[in-house]
Amino acid sequence: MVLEDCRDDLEWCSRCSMCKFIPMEVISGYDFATVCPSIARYNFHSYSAGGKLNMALAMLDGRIDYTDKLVEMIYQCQICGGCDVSCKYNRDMEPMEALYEFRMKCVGDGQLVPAHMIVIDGLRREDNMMGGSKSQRGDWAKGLDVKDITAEKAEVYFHAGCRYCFDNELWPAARSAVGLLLKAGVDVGITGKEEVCCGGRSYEIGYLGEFTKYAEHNIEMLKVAGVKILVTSCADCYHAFKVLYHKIGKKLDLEVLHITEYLERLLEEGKLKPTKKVPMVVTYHDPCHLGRMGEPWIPWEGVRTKGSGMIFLHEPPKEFRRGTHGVYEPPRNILKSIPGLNFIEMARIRERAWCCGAGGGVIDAFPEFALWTALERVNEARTTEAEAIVTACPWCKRILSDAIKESGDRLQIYDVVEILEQAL
Amino acid sequence: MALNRNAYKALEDIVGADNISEEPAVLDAYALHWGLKAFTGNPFGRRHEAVLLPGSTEDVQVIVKICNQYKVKFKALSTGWGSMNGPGGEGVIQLDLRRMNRIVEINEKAMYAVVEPYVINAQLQAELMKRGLTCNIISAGSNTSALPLTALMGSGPTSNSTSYNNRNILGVEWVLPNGEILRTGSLGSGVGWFCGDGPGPSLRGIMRGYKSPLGGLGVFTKAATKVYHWPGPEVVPVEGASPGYTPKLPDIISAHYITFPSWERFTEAGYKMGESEIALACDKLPPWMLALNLTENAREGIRLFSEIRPQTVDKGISVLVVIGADSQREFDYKEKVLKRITSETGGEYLPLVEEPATRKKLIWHRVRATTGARETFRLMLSQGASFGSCDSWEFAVNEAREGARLKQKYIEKGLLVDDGVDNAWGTLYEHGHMGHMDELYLSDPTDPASKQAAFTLMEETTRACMEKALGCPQTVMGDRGHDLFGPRMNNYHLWVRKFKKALDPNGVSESTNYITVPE
Repeated sequence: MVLEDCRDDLEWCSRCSMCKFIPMEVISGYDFATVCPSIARYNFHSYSAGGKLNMALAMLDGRIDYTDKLVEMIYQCQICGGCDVSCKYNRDMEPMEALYEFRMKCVGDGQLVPAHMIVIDGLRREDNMMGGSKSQRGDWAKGLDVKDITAEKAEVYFHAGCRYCFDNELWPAARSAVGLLLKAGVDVGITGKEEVCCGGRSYEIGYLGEFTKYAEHNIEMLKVAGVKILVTSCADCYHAFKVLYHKIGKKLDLEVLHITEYLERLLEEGKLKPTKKVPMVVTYHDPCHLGRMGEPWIPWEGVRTKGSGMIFLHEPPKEFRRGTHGVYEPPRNILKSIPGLNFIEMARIRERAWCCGAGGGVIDAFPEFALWTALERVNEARTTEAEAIVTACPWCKRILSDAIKESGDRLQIYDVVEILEQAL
Repeated sequence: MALNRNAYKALEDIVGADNISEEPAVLDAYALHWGLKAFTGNPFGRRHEAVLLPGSTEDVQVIVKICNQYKVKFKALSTGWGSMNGPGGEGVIQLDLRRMNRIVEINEKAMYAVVEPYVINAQLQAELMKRGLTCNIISAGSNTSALPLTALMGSGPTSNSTSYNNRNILGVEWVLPNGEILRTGSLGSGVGWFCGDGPGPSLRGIMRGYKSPLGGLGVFTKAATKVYHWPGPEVVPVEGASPGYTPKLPDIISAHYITFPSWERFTEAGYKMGESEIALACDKLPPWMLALNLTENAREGIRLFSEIRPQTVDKGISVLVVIGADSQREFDYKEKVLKRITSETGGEYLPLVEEPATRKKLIWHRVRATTGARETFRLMLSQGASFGSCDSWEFAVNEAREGARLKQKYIEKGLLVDDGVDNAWGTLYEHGHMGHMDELYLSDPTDPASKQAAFTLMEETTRACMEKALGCPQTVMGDRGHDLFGPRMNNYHLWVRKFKKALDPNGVSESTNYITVPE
């Protein structure tokens, strides 16, 4: 696919501005009505999905050429998918595809964001997005009595992901995840320092070649290891393994689960029993890649063609991913299973959740914008009077943590697994 | 034509470097409007010289004064849906009022709300509902500005109980094209926003009149809009995920989709419903739109339309009636009256909308006005609209009848989409005898014959307005249209030009889509 393939959608954006807001049906007040951090922060229409579609069409039609500002506008966006859900509440379009393709065109045309070049260079050298040394990738798991699937067989593979591996402050959550699996008697293994990036972030910033390379590597590794289930605590990795690999025609021949999905299963099977009270008021932040973007990929190949009665329809019929079937319930069900825990929802949840700010390469290239976005979410959480934000992704936890620190707030932040661990 | 550097610097000093742009990509994002594609084959209109994001009335006032000083034309937009928001000529700067997004006041006692231009209707309505109130939301959708001066016409699904924008305007803060701030209605006398007509200058007819001036008469920076009683909950709980939300509405808010055997019976029923004051909405949502409204993709919409066609299109003319009540007793009374009216006029309820889940979904879609883009743009076809006067109910119905009559031959020839022929959207106003109808039609802009049919139909409907005295079409914009209709309507165009000249002596408020004054 290339940007030109999105032309129909580029031309038929009606500039309704739905992409700037959560779906109209669920707006419950003046506050927290917006969904797109990019337009909310920078205000010009060009920052919204609609505006980016307009600019992409202008580019295809030769009306504009690259400038630093244009590239900046394309990348000052977490590519969080909020716009996609709101647009597709009413329309049969794929705005997110156009956003991805616009980035891939930038990379193809050599229009690179300097900060991303550094990250990609690190990826090529060290197989991670964090600039860390690959020799230290497995340090997070030191002392854990867990199998190494490069040396012995296991039924379940736990993929930690770059953020968990190289962000020391977050190690406890990754260790808790493995600890809970072991406690439930799961035959789980890791790859330690042999683990490599899932490639997902490189896809999102437009480097399809790198993404494909890492997808192929991981597929081969998993094939050799012979695991049946891949579990990850990182929403970005989950999205890559489950959605993006399938999207590029490399669907994994195993079950991909987010840790919350697997833990929910273990709770249902009675293999984990939360009995200790956790007397805390918490709210839950849906990671975009687990929620609205985490719904399964639906392959479709065809055309939009004029049929009888002058109506243009997709042939064969196309089923759109509208954010309906993301992973929303498992983390909530885990929280609801914990004795003494008081769980309160924020205004923007599930498919219309506000992004944490870290995604799409924004945390690397535009850290202030990432922090601004996270602060918005912290403010929203504060209105619930919760003591803690609970989430299910290390990228969210990192930036929300930074925002809490920046704001001087007393809010705590946890991963779902850390809360569950307290209850066992 | 680049903007004079001194002018640019002066403007930048007002809004700050982050809130002004001459970047070609930014300008093209503002230059694209879907409506242009149907007319010119190119969705891009003229580029602005710059786009500015003022943050306050004071910003706007200084910007307008600078524009007068440097003879730079300006045009403001709020949410910006529609090609009329773009500049009609060269050398224009765009004011995007996005940063002016505050609800200034909600006065529950006097029943009005004061908003800035970028408060959207969904936000305002949600806040009002918490206070047992609601507002008129234009049929385009709640994703549009709540300022009652922005929409072209200003009627919406609940206009039967919430009136329409022309009538809902109360006090207004208006930056005139010369940079002066004018406060109209009671606001002009410093006694609050509660009245549009005084004590203080009214100017409602000049300021908005039959249609909005489409950005051609300065900038409306704040306005009060009348608000109305809402019989539903403070917050409508909505379960599920997009797009298949399930709203939880009380049973004493209900709806029926009623098909009448003839235009005459339909007209009669409308009058009776107005007189009885039973309906929260008397919303002529045509079956085509109903089908698209209730489905989650285009294919499903087409399928549902085929399914309900025998019960609606083939049987007559349909309307959606929403009943809202504060008590069971009131509800029972209203339901009974509606049944009586339906029976007296030969109407039939559509079973589909009698299903509770479908009914609740539909009510919320219409009360919140969430599906405008679904009903009009999902099929990715060019949509035209004709007629659209605000006049007596019978007059409005006659517009729809004529629209359907003129349209039919093009549908039979396969040049326009078969939307059931009568695809007029309309509403009763204020439980009264007034109403609105605009006939919609869909063409394929990639097919020259279809495109031509749409143009010809528009010309025919315009001619019908003149020859059959069916009012001034809502699509009349710009000099050509006004010069055509003005002489037939008390030479209103001459007056509009005089007002324009008086209020905009330097001609800086860009008004190609409104009316221009020859040099």
